[in-house]
Amino acid sequence: MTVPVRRLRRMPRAASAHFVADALATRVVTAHSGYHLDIEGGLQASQYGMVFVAARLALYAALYVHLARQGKVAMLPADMREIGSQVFDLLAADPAEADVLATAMEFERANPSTPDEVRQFVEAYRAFFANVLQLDRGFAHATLFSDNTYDQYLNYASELTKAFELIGIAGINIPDIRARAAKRTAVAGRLSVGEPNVPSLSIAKPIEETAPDVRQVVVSLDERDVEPLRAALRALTEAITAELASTDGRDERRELLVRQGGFERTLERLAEQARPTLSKP
Amino acid sequence: MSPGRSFVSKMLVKSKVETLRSEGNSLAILGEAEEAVLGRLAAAFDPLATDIVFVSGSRMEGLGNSTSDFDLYVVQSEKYTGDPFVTVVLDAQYAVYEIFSLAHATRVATTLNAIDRNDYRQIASLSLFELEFYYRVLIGRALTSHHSFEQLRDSFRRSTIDECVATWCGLRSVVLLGEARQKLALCREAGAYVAAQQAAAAALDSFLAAHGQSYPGFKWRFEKLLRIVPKTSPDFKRAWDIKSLGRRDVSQYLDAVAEFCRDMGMQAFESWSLNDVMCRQAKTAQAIVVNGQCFIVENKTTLFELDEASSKLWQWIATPTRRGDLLDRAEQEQVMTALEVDEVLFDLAMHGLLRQGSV
Repeated sequence: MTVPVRRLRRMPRAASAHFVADALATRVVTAHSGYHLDIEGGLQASQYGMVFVAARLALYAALYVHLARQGKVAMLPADMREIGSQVFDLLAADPAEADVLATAMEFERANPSTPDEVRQFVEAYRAFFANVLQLDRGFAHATLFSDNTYDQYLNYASELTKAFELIGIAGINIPDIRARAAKRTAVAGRLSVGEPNVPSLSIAKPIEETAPDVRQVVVSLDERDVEPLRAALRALTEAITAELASTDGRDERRELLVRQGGFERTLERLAEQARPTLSKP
Repeated sequence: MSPGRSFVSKMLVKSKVETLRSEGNSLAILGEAEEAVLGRLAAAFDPLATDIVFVSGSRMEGLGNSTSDFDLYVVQSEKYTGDPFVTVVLDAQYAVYEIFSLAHATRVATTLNAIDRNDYRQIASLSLFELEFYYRVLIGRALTSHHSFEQLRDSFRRSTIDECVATWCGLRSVVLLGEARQKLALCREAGAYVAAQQAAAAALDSFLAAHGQSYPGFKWRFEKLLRIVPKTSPDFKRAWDIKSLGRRDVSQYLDAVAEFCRDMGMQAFESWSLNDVMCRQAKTAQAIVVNGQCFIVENKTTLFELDEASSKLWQWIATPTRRGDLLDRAEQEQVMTALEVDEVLFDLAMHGLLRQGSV
């Protein structure tokens, strides 16, 4: 008798919980790959102070990923460097995490003093990351190790963005992921062409040589339009400044800065063009 | 002489410049291979003639190593494209391009230059991103548009960033120590310890900034300390020892951290406290009332149930509110005790539902 192939499987979690857990884990484990490089470089350069701090930050990131995978956190941390208290509070609040908490606390209270002790601390942490938390699977933990893995990460993030657009979740997907991937492809392409190293003074191309990247739309405004428009743009710019003060996260802040930059550019254009053109009928 | 003054005076025995020279650290002197890579990286971005491309970060701070990333910044004055940041990975190194408008760069300089160093509320509300950007312009080196970069950098001052980072970290240290004490009072030992350990780190960061080492890449704090004192000095050993709990219990550790913070000069910020932190709802958390029961939905994913008292607290932080004012109001309206307010606020923060001022 043959066992029927299961072609359809009901997932145990709701779509939102599934994709949010995935996105959080991927973003934070990607940040972890940066700490991994810091540790490698620091060990080679005998920068043991930085190695210890980076290993501690790596531990926090790894614990965050562990919690995210189980759906125990549902949003991005405000700042990857500031998650220590949160992860230990979460582990301590959940009896099911007693074993992980006990091991994590051993790392957290360890106080290596010599270079050898720092090296041992790092080795023990790496074993915890791989063997206990099992976070060395897949591509994400190696995101920053090669351009291919970084590509994989961006493609994956792009797919997740589609999933979030479908479900209607904001604030967790990488803003402008498609523009980011396109710009990255262009930059990486120019780097791989093998162009000779050029003196930096000759790098920049004149502004007139660039093709217009947006369609020009000519609008006619008279003086009665301009002042209210200016006031509205200034108000929008200031509103974003206020919003920035209460916005955490590099990507989230960048999204606001881009919007603000657009308003400011329009204000500048109004200032440049108002004088000669507004007097015309 | 107080322990604090003793520590400070010893640290100042060697001036920063002497230390840098004696230990061979060279700010902004990069090898030929790095220079070649930088030239190619700048060209690969395909900048406009009006774009300023500059390099900054740990390599320019003299702390970089073989795996350090290349931090490139593109400041666009004309045709600000709003491009997102770009990462490319080279051989065991990666490069990140961050793109900003000139208006933003100027605004960061203007904001920090105009800040009143004694206005703790204003300084606490600064974002680490702005502090980092300010410092990175200051230590940056132009790869294109050298003259425009120099003009831009004229608005950025070393003394401003040193003072801002020293105060910002000092306030943070005071807040974290307060958090550690409150968590210990609530028998949250793990959280209390982590907060205390971070308070000690922030105190050291503040001290370093006050002595000309304000680079906000805080992971380098011990390497920065080595620029001021030798590794064998009791002062370095003390700072290195306080980084972790070791064999102490949490209560002993908190006492040791409190003493360390005092010696680092944190008493200068004693008019600030945990109660001065602004609390607000996280943007991705939404409250909903169904059949008289209050829930918070986080990111359309997780559901939290609140009791009546907690739901009142939640409503109060719909707009940013000072923590101390929440405690006063809860007491006046007999909603809950101060310790209970702390407990709810720590729970909200633990689940990512609460954002707290600059920390």
